[in-house]
This record gives sequence, C-alpha cells and structure tokens, in this order.
Amino acid sequence: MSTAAQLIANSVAVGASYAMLGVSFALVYNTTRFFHFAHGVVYATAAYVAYVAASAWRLSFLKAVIISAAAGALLGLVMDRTLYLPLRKKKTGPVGLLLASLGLFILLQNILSLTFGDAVLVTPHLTTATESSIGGALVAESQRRAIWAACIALPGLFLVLRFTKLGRSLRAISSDSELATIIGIDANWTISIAFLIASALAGIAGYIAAADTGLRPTMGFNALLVAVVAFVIGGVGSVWGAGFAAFVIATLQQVSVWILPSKWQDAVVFTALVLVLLFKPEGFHGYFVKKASL
Amino acid sequence: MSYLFHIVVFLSIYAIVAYSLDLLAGHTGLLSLAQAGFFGIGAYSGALLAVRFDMPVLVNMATAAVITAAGSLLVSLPSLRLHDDYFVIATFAFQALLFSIFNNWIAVTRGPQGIPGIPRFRVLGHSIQSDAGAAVLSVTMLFASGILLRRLLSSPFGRVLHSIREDELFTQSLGKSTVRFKLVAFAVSAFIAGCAGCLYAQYVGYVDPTAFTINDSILILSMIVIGGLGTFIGPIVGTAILVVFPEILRFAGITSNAAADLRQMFYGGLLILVIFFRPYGIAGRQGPEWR
Repeated sequence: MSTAAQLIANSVAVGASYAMLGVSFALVYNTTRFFHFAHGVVYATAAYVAYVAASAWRLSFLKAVIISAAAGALLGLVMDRTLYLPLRKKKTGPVGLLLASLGLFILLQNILSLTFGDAVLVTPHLTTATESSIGGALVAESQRRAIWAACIALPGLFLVLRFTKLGRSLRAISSDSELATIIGIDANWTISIAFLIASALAGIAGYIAAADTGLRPTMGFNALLVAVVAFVIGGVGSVWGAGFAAFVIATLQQVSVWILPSKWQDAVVFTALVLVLLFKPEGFHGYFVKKASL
Repeated sequence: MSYLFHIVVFLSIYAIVAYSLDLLAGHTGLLSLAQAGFFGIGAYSGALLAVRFDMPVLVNMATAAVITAAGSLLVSLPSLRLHDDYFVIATFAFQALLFSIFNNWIAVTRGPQGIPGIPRFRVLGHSIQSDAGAAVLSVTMLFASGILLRRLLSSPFGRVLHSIREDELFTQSLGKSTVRFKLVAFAVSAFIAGCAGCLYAQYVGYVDPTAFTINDSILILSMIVIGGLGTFIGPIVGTAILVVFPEILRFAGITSNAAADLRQMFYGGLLILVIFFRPYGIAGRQGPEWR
C-alpha cells in the first residue's frame, strides 16, 4: 500500500536528520556529562555560514555541506575551549554548565537574528521539485540528501568510535573520565574532539535542513528539542540508543500526522518524552544516571 | 512620566515571576524551565476571566492563580520523580508543551492571534486606566508576594525546602516526605506566577503565545541566577538589570527589532559572565553550592 510505503519513507528521511542530531548531542553528553544546549545554535550558525559562502562563491551543494560541517566543528571547538573548559577547571557543576550553555544559546541565536534578520532565507540549493519514486513512495531530493548524509556520517562515526585510538579515548572518557586520565588519556583534548565531531555533524544536518526549509535564526531550537528528546528516550550513556530513538520519534511524528492535525506534531514528541521519563527514565539503551557527577 | 510608570509595572510583574521561580530554584533547588508556561497559564486564565466576567482584580487574580497552581500539578507530578539534569529536561519539555497548547488550542486561546481587548483592573468598582494606578497596584502585589515568601521561607516549611536543596536524601532520612514538600513548593510558585500573569494580561490588554516561550523561561531563570539564587534581594536585582538596562537602548535610537535582539544578547552574555565570575549572583552570598 502506497501510504504505508510513504509513511516509512518519510519516517526514514526525517529519522535520518533527527539521528544525526541525537547522536551528536549524545556524543557531547557522554563525554562531558552536561546538557550542551548550545548544540542547537551550532546547528543554526553553521548553516548560516555555509549559506553565506555558498551564495558568495556559488558553491555546489556538497561543498556547502562541507563548509557547514567545518564551520560547525570550529564553533563547537571554540565553545569548548573558551567557555566550557575554563568552567570545568573552576569545578563548575553540570548545572552551571547548563546555564552557561543556555546563555550561549541565547547570545548566538540573537547575533544571528541581528546579522541576518528574522525572515526566512533561502539557500541557493533549495530544491523542492525533484522527486523519485521508490516502492510507491515519493522521496524528495531533500529527503534523499538527509538519508545519504546519515548513511555516510553515522557509520563513519561508528567506525571511528570502534576501531580508532581516538574512538577508544572517547569511549574511555565517556565511561570513566577519571580512570581514563590515569591511564594517560588527555581528557580535555578528547572532550574538545568530541565537540568537534558532534558540531560537524550538527553543521551537516543544519545545512541539509536549510536547503530544505530555509534558514531562520530560531531553527536551532527545534533541532535541539529533537536532539534532547532522542537522547533521553534512547538512553543516557548510549550514542546509538539516541540514533535509534531518533527513528522512533520520526515514525511517531509521521504516524501522528495521519491521526491528529499536523500542528500537534511537536506536542506528540514532548508527550512521548514525558511518558518515557515517567515510566522508563533510563531510556531504552542506556543506564540510569540519577545525578551527573564528575 | 507615563513611561516611567510603565517600566515600574513591568519591573514589578517580572520581579514577582522571578520571586516565584526563586522559591523553586533558589530555595528548593529545583531548576525549572517551565516558569514562563505558568506565567502564561495565569495570563490566559486572567485574560479569559476578565473578558468574560470583569470581576474585581483580586478575585480575578486569585482565580487565575488557583488555576495555575492546579495546572502546576500536571507538571510537577511527573517531573518530581526525576532529579537534576532529568528534571530540568522534563520542565523544558513541559514548557515546550505548554507553548504548543497556547499556540494550537485555538478554541480557547485563539492561538497566534491572541486574546485582545482585556479590560483593565477593577478595584472597588473603579477601573484603573492610568499607568500610575497600574504601577501602584503592581508594586503593592510585589510587596505582598515578597512578604509572603519571606514569611514562608523563614518558617519550618521553608527550612525543609532549604534542607531538600542541600541534601534530599538526608531530608528524607529525617522523615520528611520530600515529594509532598516539593509539590507544595511548585503549587505556591505557580500560584504567584499566575498572579503575575493575570496582572500582565490586564495591564497589556492583549496576550499571545509569544510572551511565554522557552526564551522567556530562560530569561526568568537568568534574572534570578544573575541577581543571586536564594537571596532576598537577588530576584529584584536581576529583574532590575534585565528590564531596566535594555530600556536605555531605546534612547540610543536603535530600531525595535535590533533592540529586541540586543536585549536578548545582553541577557545571554550577562548570564555567561555571571556563571563565570560570580556564580552566586550579583547579590549572592554563600548561597546554594553549584552542584
């Protein structure tokens, strides 16, 4: 039945971009143990930077995405080195870091608003026309892009985490930061690299979304919500749990649009989060972190 | 002169909300990002009551506040079994949910169009139209809530809240039902925020969802963090800085859109600076430890 195929196709496409957000957010949380709210604004800023570059130099879509990834990576790295690291050195707890992150979010979002205005900007790579048909479902170009990006980035990340020295360091720091330091891993640099990778992923997701629905200074907020919800539902402490949960959320949203008016889409996601928090706060793949302690 | 009264009213209203959040965050250690949502419930309730029934302001406010306190149960009951980060996230989700309701429940809230034509306060039969009158009313309410909170927090109830903030497990070991205390703290906080919401609705004369977003929740939290969590004058200091200072921008001849952005940049930047250099806030003493 074409509707089922369409539902699946939409869920996969939306899930792909949600997964990039959830996984990247989880990567930061696992290494630093606080909610990096500013992740949302990294997503937005990287997209805007790529937009400027792509418009000025007439870049191809691929180059624009790469620039977005690079811009995101750089911003994330700077955030960590100039703000979070000094705060960690001052023994600021996760609550203080969260508040600083909130401040950063508001600050940067409004810098974007001031610089680019609040109107929706259209990237030179906007495509709504081309669609292809797979198994009875129509898949738009923007959806194909998201799926491609996720198919490359996420397995890539998996390989890095599993088989490289860097990946092992990241996993070690996530598991037990103090112990990892004792055996010689430089926690601060590993954390910075985590920010770098996560922010690059956010940049990629950001530009793909921008090429789909345009740029707005507040675009980071919705992305952030999705990332946080995917992360909490998927389970604290599990990067892949967040990815899986992202697809679950996407499917939930698509199914809900079928039943409810589409304006309640977001409410469905939040309600799912609340229900999970109520009945299974450790999420589906992670372990229960009652109090973030470093 | 009217402009000054206007500032006083806004300052008072937001200070009341700040105090309400400080009860939760500063004194009980519950960092909630849902306060703008409670403010909104109070505002919408007050708006609808005023438009339909046009009762004296205290009745209106009390009713709106009770509705808000009842609404707070929907947020607190699920959230209170969570701790620290999870709790913050839960309140974050509830704030987004509340905003979604304000924006989409067209039948009641009229969605993005908002509710216009809300009548001004009625006190003893007269309608207070002047800004001076509104200023007097809001400052009175500010004093009333300040005194109420002061008494509440120096009472045994307040001591338990402080104890919960410092070490919840220990408080439980002393035989206190911490969940019940936290629920009450939430209800009181929501009640006060609801009062402020009603004041807001009847002063501005129009409510729409954009005044009750997550940004506003973060703003209110910033006010008390910057001013000083858990202190007596902290919320006022924080509110004063964040409400008054950007008004100065007006005189610098900046466009309205840019001013709104600059104001928020100011909030965000100041929040970062305070966390960095004075984590206990500007008026803070040896307050709650940063956990």
